[in-house]
Amino acid sequence: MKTLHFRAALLLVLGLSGGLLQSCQDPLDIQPQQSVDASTALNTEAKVGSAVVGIYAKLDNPALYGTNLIMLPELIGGDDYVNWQGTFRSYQEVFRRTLISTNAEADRTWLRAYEAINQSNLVLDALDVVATPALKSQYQGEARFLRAAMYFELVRLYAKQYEAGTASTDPGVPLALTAIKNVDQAGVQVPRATVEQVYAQVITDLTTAMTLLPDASATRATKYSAEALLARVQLQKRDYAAARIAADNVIRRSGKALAATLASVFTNKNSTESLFEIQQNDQNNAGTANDGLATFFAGYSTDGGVSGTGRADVQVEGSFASRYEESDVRGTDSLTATTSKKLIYLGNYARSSRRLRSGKWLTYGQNIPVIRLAEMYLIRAEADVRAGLTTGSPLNDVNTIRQRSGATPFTSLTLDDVLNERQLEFAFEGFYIHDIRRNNLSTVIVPYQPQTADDPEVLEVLASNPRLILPIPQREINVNPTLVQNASY
Amino acid sequence: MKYRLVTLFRIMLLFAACLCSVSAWAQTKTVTGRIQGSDSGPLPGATVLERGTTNGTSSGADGTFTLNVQPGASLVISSVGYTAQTVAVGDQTTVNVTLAAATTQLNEAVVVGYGTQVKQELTGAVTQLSSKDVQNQPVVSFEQAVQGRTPGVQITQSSGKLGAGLQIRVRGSASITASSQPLYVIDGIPVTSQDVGTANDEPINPLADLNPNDIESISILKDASASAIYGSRASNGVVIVTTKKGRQGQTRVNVGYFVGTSTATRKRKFLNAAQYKELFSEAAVNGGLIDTSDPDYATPEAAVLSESGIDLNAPYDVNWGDEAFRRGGVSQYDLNVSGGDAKTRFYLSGQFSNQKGIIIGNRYRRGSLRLNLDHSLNDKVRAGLNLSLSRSVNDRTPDDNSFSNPVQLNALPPQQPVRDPVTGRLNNQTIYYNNLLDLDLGFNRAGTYRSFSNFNVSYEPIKNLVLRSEVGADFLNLNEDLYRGAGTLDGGQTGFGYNGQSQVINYTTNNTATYTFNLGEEHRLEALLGQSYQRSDTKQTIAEGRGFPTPEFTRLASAAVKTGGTASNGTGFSFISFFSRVNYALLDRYLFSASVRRDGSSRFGDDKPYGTFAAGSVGWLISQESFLKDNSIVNLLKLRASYGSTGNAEIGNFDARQLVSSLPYGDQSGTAPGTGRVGVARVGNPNLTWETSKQADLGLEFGLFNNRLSGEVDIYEKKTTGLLLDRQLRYTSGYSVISENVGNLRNRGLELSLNGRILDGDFKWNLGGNITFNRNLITRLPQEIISGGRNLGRVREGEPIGVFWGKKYAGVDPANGDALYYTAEGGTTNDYTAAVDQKLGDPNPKFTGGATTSFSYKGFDLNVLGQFVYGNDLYNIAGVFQSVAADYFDNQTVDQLNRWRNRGDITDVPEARLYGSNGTNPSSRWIESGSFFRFKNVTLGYNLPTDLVGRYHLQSVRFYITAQNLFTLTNYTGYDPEVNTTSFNSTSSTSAGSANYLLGHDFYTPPLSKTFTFGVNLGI
Repeated sequence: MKTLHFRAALLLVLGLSGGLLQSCQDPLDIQPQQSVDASTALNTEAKVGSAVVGIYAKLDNPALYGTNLIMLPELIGGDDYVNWQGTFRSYQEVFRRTLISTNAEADRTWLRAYEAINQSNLVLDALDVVATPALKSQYQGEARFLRAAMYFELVRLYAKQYEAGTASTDPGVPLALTAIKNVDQAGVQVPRATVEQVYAQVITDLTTAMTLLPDASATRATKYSAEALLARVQLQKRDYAAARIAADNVIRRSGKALAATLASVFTNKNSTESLFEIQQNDQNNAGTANDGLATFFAGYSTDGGVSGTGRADVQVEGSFASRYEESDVRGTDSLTATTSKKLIYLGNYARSSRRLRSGKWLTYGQNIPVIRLAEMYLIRAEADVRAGLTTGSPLNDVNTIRQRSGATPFTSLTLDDVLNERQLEFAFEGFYIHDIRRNNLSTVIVPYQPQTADDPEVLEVLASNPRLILPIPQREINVNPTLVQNASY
Repeated sequence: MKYRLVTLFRIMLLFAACLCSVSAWAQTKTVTGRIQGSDSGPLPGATVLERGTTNGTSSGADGTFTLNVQPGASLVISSVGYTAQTVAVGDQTTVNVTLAAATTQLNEAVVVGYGTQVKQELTGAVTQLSSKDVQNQPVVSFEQAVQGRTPGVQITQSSGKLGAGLQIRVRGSASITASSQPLYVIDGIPVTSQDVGTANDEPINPLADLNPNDIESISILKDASASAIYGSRASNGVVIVTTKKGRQGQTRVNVGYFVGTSTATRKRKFLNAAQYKELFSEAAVNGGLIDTSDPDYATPEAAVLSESGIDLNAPYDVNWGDEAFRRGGVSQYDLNVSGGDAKTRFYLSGQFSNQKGIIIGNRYRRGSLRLNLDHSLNDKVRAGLNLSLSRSVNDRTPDDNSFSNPVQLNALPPQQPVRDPVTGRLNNQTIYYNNLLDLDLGFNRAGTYRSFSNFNVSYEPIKNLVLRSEVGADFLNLNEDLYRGAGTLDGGQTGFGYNGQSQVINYTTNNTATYTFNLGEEHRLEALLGQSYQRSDTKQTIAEGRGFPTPEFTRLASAAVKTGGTASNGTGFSFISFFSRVNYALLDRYLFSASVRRDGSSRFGDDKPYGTFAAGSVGWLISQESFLKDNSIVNLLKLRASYGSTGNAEIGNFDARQLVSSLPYGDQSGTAPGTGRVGVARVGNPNLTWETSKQADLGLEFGLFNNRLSGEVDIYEKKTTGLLLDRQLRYTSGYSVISENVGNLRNRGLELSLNGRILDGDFKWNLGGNITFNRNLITRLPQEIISGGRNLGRVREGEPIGVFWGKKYAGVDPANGDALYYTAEGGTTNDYTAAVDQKLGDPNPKFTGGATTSFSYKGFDLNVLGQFVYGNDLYNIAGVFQSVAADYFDNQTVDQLNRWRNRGDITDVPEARLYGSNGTNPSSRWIESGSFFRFKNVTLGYNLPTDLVGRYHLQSVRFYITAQNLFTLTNYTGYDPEVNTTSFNSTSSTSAGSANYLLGHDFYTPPLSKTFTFGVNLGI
């Protein structure tokens, strides 16, 4: 009796424990289900191909082109142009230039840009497994193009304007050009390269990419995406001759053409005018409630105010809207989004309904044009005007842009006309502060400075004002003390 | 290797069993007796155990028992809620015993890891609570009910949201970025105790699925000696919950009902319309907005209207802050039946609980069933089954940092009406989102199915050897449904729907062999050998969509577009463990205990999959020494000491790994390092492993004056090394963090609890209290952790965890109204960036504790529980918005009216300057003392006389009224000093793992509720 019980119970005990243990081969071997190990993530051609798409995907992050690389340049020193009405303190600080080094926008834009850069470096490092020559060259070209785009955005936002005399000593941003795969590599402290070095790297990457990228692609970077970005870089660097060559080349060879209307560039995906565009759809986009360009810029309702799109955080100042001619469809007719025929509409949802909003960013899933052909025309025109030419080609270029939107063509041209045209054409597309700094404009007004006897009113902020540059994130300085903080932070 | 260990274990088990099957045999005698409770009649279900053996029985319905014992045996008689007694049998054949009700808890049976021990012989530090402490309270989960009763354990409710998570710290925070929450074990099975929800950042407390009225006891294992048997998961303490069991004897039926009403413990005062107009008109002028040439900005009213759409002269005066709150209510129905015979015992229960929260839209309902069954096949084999099923439905309140959080309504200006006066619809033109729309046009609901179950078999092949095997499972199914109709913030033009299904299955098997033997009179030994395996699998499916035809359609089948959050995913972990414990008592007074556990986990890096944890302890029952044995003053005096190591394995399931995940781009699929779109890119670490805590504990237990005064004092030091830290990497590497075992911290503390039976006649008066002093110190940290954003919490070497660090506010410059901050030299400056970062406060209390007093006279009883927290600081992050002298259009707290106005004004509120950023940056300006004393629970009850109830064939009838959170004494000016926002604990790149160190932050966090209930319990 005793032994019978004993055996029965022992069998039961062992059965229970054994059953669970033997149900899986190694009881401690549990693998992640929606991730793969980094060590095997880039060992085939197809995997490298996915990683390349991953770089583009990074760019859609709201910290990058998804929001900040477009919106921050509009907000920094956007007085008399846009007004930040929103409640997000981090943007409010950017707009009022009261930000400090822990500002969340400065932090996340820096982080995500370097994530995209490392992703590019990982791809470049893994090219050996790409056997198909055409793909190998395309992937390298894309990685270099996207890396260049990120470094260019970083050096424009976090460092001083390129000045020929001081660029070789002005601190730029750290240059990371090799793939980081382990903690030892991640632990190396990389100091800030100079502005000169960063521009040089950007130009090297772009010129290399131009030789590698395909001539055309439906949704990805092409040779002309790289060359167009090169034109923008050279312009920012004030190398107008080089900028003109690149812009001219793109206009003549890319096969791109201006879209019939400017609005269609934003409402349609990958228009004929688009040279580089961030792809979004309803599933994969930068945000629908707390992030994304439509979230911040839009504020309209199609059902009489019951429901609407956007938070209506960025208001277009009336003074800016009035700079457009009556006939210019880029301006405003003070009608709501559903009735307006123009690109600046009267908001009718969220916040004060009588405020003007930009009609470029209306839906969450729309694509985000980053470079479009119109810019090439204005770069070529500006280079020509600066070279002393005021009729012929530059006049035609500017008028091409103006006439498309119904603005009266110029009969003669000054540099200010071109610069003004850039502001009108590329409003709310992430150009504003970069042009102000490049052109050393000092037209930025600080309207809300407290006026007290001890605190005299300041009306102008020079383009050289250190507050027009974002701080290096405090967290980054804590981790890497070799980084020098920007002035005034 | 793992295989060999399993096999080895099996062989050992077999061997041990064979060896011991040669059992001792001796003459026995039969003892009968009757057990009574000092506060009641016959005590059914009391345990009668021959001391030093597992030979025992339990008393029947009339309190009687019969047991065969060895000659010269002693009987240990115990029952939960009563003081255990040891009686020498000697020549007696009848032993009648009256157990004293355990107003002092000196000798009760204490549940420990994989067994029980008599408190007197325990050499570890364990706090045990009984069903009395948790039953019939107007709370959602049991931890809320024991606040103030647990020396060494700080329990903090993070908000007044129903079913929200709690923060529990056993002897301080033992980790920085890994979890500091204890391990929860329900009926032997480690359960899922962390939020598994996906719909929003407000955690749901999975322990709310346990009906508190089913709990028989809660043991909190605090020192290494008690907890090391749980190895790599014991550093944060272990909470062992045991559910009620049936007892042999007459079937007992208990019926309970209570009903009550609740309100917020406190509401804040904000400006009314006139005050708002005054302050903001002034702010517009000082902010330089007035431009007489522009009609839109010619007057303050025009400027405010232009900037914000707020009409300062509008004929409304809305108290938006109060719109968030309402009168809540609670009701609960309980039924349980228990009983059984010599072969089979059972406990059956059912409960329905319904709580309506004090925050609009917040409601919690739970129905639960339980069957605990225990059957003796014969005198050697027993089988048992515990089975529970609960269903809860929680209408949730969004996380604090959501525009949908009703408390954020307090930011709306009084001039903006709740409803549009023309259309009658809720006003959607407010400066901040009018989130009343969310409740009007949608819902946010979480439904849970939960089952805790356990099947066990025990077998005593030979006397004193018990083999026990159990398999348990914890099933959790969470269904989150969220709908935001068109017209809400998230709903946009066409509505937004979200559905998340989470399923967590946790299997555990425990196999133990326990052998007890005596060597003569002097030596008593208990040895435990065991093995355990746990596997947890989580599966989640999330669907979301937009484009609903009309608000009547709320299911995703009706959504035109399925949006980006739609996903399914899974994760899991496993632990395999071997453990052993030996308890040895010499001469009934020298006590020794040692335990060891070897744990392997799938979470640990490939290079370190296994770890071993051991602890030892000694005790000296001084009162058993001859010189004290029959002392009339000192009844109990015990000194105990322990030392040992435990681990903390609460890292992410794959934190050791360097992962690449998919990252879509438009219609194309891509991959990138990290865990997806918003995830943190980590560098892998194959050496990643558990944190190790080495804890020393010295305790003294005493009972004086016939145990009228009893108490317990413990001092401890817990040193944690190899802290699992997410070390921040330079962003320029493309990664944010690496998980590493770096960093050390230390908790030192003193716990004291005292209980006194002051009056013990017809009129009884007990007084008790406990107090805990814990000092946390980060002793080594390679890199300061800065939570960033507006948070002030940091982790710094040489400071306690979560220390507030930043710029110190120096008040207002009387000359110009500028906000001032302290500089490094001790001077002041109005330039924020020129000020120096310094220590601003400490969110860790200097001491915490509780005080209880109870009176009873005839049928009446009155119990009062007070809870206190002293010496901690709180930081109101929302101050940046609501107490900044009209920097933006948020309505302001009334104290902002004390702003600087004229040269020479002395105040600490700077001049009001709209957009002026005058003193708006994070600083000590919004740090306040968080000390409080709270009357946590006051209960007045009346038991009808037995002869009266007997006439109606009832056993007992009790009526009671309870006041929960009756009132709170505090200087904190926010809603409630018991606060810890959960909103900034997300895994975003800047604040990874901050849940543990972001302490004492208040951000539009709802207060707790003050609840009054009336209840009745019937015993049939």
